[in-house]
Amino acid sequence: MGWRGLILTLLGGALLALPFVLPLFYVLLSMEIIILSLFSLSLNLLVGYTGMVSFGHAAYFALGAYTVGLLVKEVGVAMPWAFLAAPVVAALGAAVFGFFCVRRTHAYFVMLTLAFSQILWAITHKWYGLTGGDNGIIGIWPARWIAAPEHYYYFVLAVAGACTLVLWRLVESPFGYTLQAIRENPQRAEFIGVPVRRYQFIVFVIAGFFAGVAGALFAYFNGSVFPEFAFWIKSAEPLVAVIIGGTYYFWGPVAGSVVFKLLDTLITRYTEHWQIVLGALILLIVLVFPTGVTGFDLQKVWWRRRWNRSRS
Amino acid sequence: MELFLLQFFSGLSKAMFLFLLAAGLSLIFGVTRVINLAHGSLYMVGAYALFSLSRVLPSTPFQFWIALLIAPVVVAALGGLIEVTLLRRVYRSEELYTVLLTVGLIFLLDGLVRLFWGVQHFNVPRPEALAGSIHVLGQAFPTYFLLTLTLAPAVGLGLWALFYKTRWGVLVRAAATNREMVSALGVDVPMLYTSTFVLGSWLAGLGGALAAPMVTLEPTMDAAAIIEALAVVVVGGLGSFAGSLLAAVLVSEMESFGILVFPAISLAIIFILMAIVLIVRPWGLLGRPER
Amino acid sequence: MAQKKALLLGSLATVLFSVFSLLAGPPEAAAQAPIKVAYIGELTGTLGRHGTGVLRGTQLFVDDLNAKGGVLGRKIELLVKDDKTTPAESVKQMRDAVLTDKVDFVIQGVSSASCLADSSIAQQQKVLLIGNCMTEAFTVDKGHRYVFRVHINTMSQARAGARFLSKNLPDKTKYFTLGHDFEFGHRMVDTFLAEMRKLKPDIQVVGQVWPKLGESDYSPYITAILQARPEVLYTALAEYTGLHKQGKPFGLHERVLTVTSAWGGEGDLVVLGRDTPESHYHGGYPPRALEQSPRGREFVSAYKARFGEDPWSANLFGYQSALFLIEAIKKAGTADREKVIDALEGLSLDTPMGKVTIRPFDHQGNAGIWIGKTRFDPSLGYGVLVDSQFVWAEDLLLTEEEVKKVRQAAR
Repeated sequence: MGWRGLILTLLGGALLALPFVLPLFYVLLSMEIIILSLFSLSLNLLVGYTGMVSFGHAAYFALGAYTVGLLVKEVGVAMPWAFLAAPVVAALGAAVFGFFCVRRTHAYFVMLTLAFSQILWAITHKWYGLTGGDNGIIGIWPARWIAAPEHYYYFVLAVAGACTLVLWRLVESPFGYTLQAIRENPQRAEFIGVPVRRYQFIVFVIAGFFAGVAGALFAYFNGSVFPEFAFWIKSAEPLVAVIIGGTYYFWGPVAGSVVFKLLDTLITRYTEHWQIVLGALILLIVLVFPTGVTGFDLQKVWWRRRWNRSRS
Repeated sequence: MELFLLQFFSGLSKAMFLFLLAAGLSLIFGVTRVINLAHGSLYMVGAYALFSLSRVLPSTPFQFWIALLIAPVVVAALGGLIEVTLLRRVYRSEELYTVLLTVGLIFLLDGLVRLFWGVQHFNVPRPEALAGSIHVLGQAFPTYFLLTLTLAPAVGLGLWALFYKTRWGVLVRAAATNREMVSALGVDVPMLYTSTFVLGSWLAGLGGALAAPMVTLEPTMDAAAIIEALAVVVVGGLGSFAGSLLAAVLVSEMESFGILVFPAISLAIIFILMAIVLIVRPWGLLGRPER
Repeated sequence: MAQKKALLLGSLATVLFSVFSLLAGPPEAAAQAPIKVAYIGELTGTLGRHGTGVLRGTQLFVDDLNAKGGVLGRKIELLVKDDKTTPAESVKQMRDAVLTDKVDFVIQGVSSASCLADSSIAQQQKVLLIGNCMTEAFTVDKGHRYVFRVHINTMSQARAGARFLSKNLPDKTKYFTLGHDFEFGHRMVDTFLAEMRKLKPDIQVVGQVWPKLGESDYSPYITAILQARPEVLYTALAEYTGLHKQGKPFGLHERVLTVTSAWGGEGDLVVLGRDTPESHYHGGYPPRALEQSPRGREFVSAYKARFGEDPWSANLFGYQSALFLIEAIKKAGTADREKVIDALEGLSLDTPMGKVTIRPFDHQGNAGIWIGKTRFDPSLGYGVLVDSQFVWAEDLLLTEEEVKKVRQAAR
């Protein structure tokens, strides 16, 4: 365990102590980062582990968020139930869209995920009677006992932590290794008897489920949900985070989320020309870290380790 | 019937702009495998370039035409710069990094446009010769339509000739099918990629310059443009110019009639069409199925 | 290998965090500290022009005030935050402004969605929010103690249009509506038609279209409108240049009378330049009309001196929001939020557009709007509004009982 265990413990401790040490602003920012991390981790199941680049992952985030919004505002459902319903609805949406999406590969897959996400955006924008249109749904507050930002922080940390643990177990399992085999060579995987399409469908739904959790967390955090949660720009956020952090490493998306959110918040706060600065920085990152800030030919490392392990 | 024809005619103008954008996007993707998300921003730069030229150039009857000639070249040069300094370095990496790169480009270009021209909206006046109206079936239409309706297909024809009748075109098509082989045969593939991107950018710039006297110039005009261009490329088929033209007309007409027939889903029409094509016939109307 | 990279990343993150903390700076101290006001508005995105306009007006007032020594001996520190025309970002900036920068007062931009979202934070955090959005929900359905609006809302603008048309064009009965597909567009058109049907029951609505916000090609909408052969086209858009510019060669302006009673018209006419239609109706705050009063003259010349061009509606909104805030602080004699709110209720001031009073029961100002005829002015090179008639909002807004009723129903 050594190295890795030590770092994880230190990080865990820092995260737990954060609300006591840092001002409220950082607590709020950290929540944003944690939520984006979960969102990105869920996307990386598709992008990094299965080789499916989705540009419409925001759809499931939005489904989770809107489920919370609608249940809380229209039906008056209490937090635990709304929160549990959200990822289920998101997973259902992923099942419906995913059924069609997994039948396509590469650029077609990318475009189809984008198209579905935009359709969802159009629906939330236009269905004024149900969703409130571009005004969104506002006034979504967490249950009283965790309503204060400091308390909600621990809730977010706990939920995200639990989900991360589940995701970790998932990718370090035969299922996870099969996904990677599919990523490397779908034809060969098919030849050795893996039902490739079924696996792709399952991981699509799982990814949608966790995106829904992230969406639900964000709905309560933000206090409101808007149609733009399904817009393609929202899908670009976890994608950018995943690429920045590196797709081949489990923690890559987390690292990328930290970097991206920090940059985004910092830059917007201090200059009105944030677009130039953010754009230039992204370009810099792409040029300096062509395989992500954690990446660096990790693919080779991964293969070498698997090879070594298989020989011992 | 008259209603139908008039509505059809008014949708054609937009189809021409979409065709120019989609052709460039399709071309860039077909050869370099890059989905250039910054294509809408290049279109925007083309429009603003024409605007600035119309302010700077001496006021003669030919001013507009000169500006129309220069603006796309400016954008082409910008495209060349982007390709050589930025894109080249990421071809070796995964496709994903090109996505990130183009996202970064969108921000950068948007920010630069806003920096140089500000958030004010601008109006580029139409050239004198094309400022009036022509009458079709008793309804007045802008004379400017004649320009877009002739220029875009002419460009389309020119592209076809370029790709099927010149050596460069043959090489580019070959590189699109099998780049290793082409490189092994001693062809300068990087130069092919650069020239493709330059041509694609030129097309985007032309689209923008041509659109400028029609639309209001604002720093967010790229957002809608890129989404619609992507949809057209998908529907028409990657790598097919005729497909882009057909799809551009189809998409524009669906929107043109959609506002009357299906106003509730007018926002989603383009994406529904995109999804249907991808589900039923992913290689598009006139594309070639990938083996 | 992996550990080294993780370490590299960890250091990168730590460095970023430290830089960030340093930049965030130490907390503010002591007595003659400036009064912190945040401006949260659209500086980029679809409504970038509008949000920037409001900001300029606010900046003009604040800088002027600070040059004269501020208020109660304290200067105003204006913190500018871009919400990128995105409501979620607006919420984030509002939270930052309130919790990190610890502002007491917020002036907001024009997006209705953002204002409504920030309104709930204002209520929760008990921060005074003066919004410049249009939806009447901001002060009526979802109004509360902490939100104010100095300016017109969709109800007053739409009703003004209805009154104006039924009075000045009684013979026209066939109407077509064109509204941008967002809150503002829908509210304006719906309210206009509801009022119009009351005043003129014989009106015929021959069609309605809703272009999306940011639409660049109006051609299909124009042909659809022309084919329905209306007499009047009532519009409610975020910007009118696209419609008029594209409509001109279609003969739109000769065949249909276009009317809008929404603000911003005079700004769009400047952009339109030679494409300005003749003798159509637009709402707004034309500088020539403002200049008819001494206060208005002062505002126009001050704006021109600083920014080099005539002001438009958005600038006026920002200026007057700041004006009311500062006068309320003066009246309260303190920057204490609750006392300022009390002072603001019922406050009546002489503004560049005339006398405006903030109604205490819904915190809505009774500002009016001008509706004038469009004309191209060759000496200026762009369009202006002439023969502008001023419409007072007082009798166009909901009465106190009506407001109470709506709020009861909303609960």
